[in-house]
Amino acid sequence: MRKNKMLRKRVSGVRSTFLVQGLNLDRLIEHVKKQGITLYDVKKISQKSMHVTVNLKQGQKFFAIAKDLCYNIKKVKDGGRNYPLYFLFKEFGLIIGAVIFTFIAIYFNGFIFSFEYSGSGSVLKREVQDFLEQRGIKKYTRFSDIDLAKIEDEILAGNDRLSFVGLERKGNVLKVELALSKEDKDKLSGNVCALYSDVDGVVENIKVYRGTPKVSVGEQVFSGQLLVDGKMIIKEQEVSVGVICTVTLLSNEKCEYYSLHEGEEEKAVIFAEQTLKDKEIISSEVVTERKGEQYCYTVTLKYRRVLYAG
Amino acid sequence: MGFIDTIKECIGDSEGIKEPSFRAVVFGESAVYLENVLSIFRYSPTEIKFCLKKGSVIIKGEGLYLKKYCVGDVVVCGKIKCLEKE
Repeated sequence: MRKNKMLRKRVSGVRSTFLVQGLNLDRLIEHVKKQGITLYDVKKISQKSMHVTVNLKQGQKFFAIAKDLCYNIKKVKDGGRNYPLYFLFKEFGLIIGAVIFTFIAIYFNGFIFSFEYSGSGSVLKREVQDFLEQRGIKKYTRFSDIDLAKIEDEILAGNDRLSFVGLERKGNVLKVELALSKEDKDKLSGNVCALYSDVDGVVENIKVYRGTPKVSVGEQVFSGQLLVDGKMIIKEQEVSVGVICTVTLLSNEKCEYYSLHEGEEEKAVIFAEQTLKDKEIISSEVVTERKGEQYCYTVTLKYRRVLYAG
Repeated sequence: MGFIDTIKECIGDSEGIKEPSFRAVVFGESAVYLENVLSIFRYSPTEIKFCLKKGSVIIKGEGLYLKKYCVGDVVVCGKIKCLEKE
């Protein structure tokens, strides 16, 4: 209150408008004038009420005089040439708070707070999420540190199952729109009720989004073995669902290469790799054996086989 | 003040001018400036009566209001129709 009083004394060019109600308003005007208060914009609204404007400095005095003379008085507004400046000083704390809030809003506007996945390809949400995290795109990453167009291309290039990838910034949310491609490569069987293995191997990775996994990581599986089943127990009832999953198997393939010459291990590996050119080859082993006049190179290739369903 | 001196020169050295009781300046139909008024006698949006040292002055019009009123000086705004001295 003391601060406001000092402010009122120093400020000029600010005026207060009051609504005065009562009888014999002319008497009030005269009385106030005699007290040395300058009146501005004295307008009678009706027989018993009028608007009066005075300087802010004299507002309290005017209020007291009117009250003493038994008039009803109410402050309507403040105004004047210097009112904006007066408001700034009076509500300094509010202004500071507004500035700080604006600064915080602008600063934090550039961060990712959440991700939103949409589209038919959102079943691959976890894969895309892992991909983004590998590239350092996670919660609280700055939007300015990311090239959205480049990331879109990388996601699309790295996943054959997607035909469209769209990244859009909406406020603090990164919206990821994914669309599955119509032709599903490497789909093991057209039966979406279950996923079966078509090779012998060891399970390296299994991700089941819908269905019941029948194998676990590290387990040896055989060709034709059921990997993921479409039967699930939901609320104590067994139901059939469409399987959505990916299973990665590590499998071996053996090839034999015959030659009259010795020391052709490298050539043997190259020929063997050609038979599995669509697969991701991890390692190779060559065993050389002499069979009569020929050398038999047995190449064992270890490769990764990814199975999808859904 | 040059304007006032010019008026005085035109009117000459008569008693009424040496010590004017009040001075009124009318600005078209929209405003009147009065000097040396003692008090306000009656105020309404159609008529305002001021008391002077000698007599009174009445301003008639529509939508009249006191633009500024302090010791001795007053500015009346609105649609001024006539100014009467009593």
